[in-house]
Amino acid sequence: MRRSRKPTPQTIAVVLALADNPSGWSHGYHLCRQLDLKAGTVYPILMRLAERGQVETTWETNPPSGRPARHLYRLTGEGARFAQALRTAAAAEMPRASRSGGVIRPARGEAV
Amino acid sequence: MTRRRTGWIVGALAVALVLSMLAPGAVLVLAVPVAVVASILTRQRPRGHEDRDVAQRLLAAAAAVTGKRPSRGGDPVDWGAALRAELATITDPRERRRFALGAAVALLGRPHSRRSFVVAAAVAVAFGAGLLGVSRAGLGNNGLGSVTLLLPPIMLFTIGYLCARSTRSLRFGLETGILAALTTLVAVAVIYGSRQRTGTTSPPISASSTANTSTST
Repeated sequence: MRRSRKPTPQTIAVVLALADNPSGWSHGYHLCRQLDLKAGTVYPILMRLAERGQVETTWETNPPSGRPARHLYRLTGEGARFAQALRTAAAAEMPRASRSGGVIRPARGEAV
Repeated sequence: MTRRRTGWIVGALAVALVLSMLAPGAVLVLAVPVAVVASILTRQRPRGHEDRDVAQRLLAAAAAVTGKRPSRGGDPVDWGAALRAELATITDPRERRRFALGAAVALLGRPHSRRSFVVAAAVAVAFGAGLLGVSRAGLGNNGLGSVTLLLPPIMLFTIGYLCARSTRSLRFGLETGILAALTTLVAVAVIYGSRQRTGTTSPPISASSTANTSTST
């Protein structure tokens, strides 16, 4: 039986950033810059999401000459449902957090 | 197999055998180095990368000790290759070093699958039990001797090498080798305890050394 842990703020940020780009693929380094997170934070999250089937991966098909093909990531259907659940939970948490002075960290560029 | 690799294997075996004859505790001393040597031998050596910078070297080293990781509903993902490809897109040297450091942490920090651990533990237990059984059956109540001296280094080397080679993962080879070594120590400790209870106090080393230390308690 898989344990269901509460996702970390970084995991939430990565999932929501991927959800913001549902039709296209994202690069890992682009996610690092977009979220201002280190590779040591973003890539373990991507690895975990891929192992859970919430993120699918592929390789760039036509890389420029002289550069290897990059690895691309996007949410699966299950990942999209997970993102939607996170949005719902974040929306539910927001009034409580603002009452208690707590802060919920949204993904950069995400409307709150 | 290349001549260089064969040389490494022969050298490691020779060192293991010599050390095991010098000290009864050589099993412990040998466990990690033997597994390391065996696993390093299995590393793929990329050619034409002499001009790699620090970031590339760091990431290549981290990728070399990790294998592919599973992804649900698809082929295993080669995260080492993915991170190296991403590094190739970064031009700023400082940013490259930062990215490589984080990527190395990501590669090394994620544990192997539970199945790998179970395989490693099963191999270790089987090895320890086998060693104990062979030692007891072959040498009677003495329980120690050539089997205890020679078999562990060779077996540890073989286990670490085969595991690392089959999975292309230095880390898995190391984990398996170390687990096997720890289990070996348990087996040796059992034999020691048995010998102490029966009043035989000679250490598990060659006959000449045994004669010199037979009065110790």
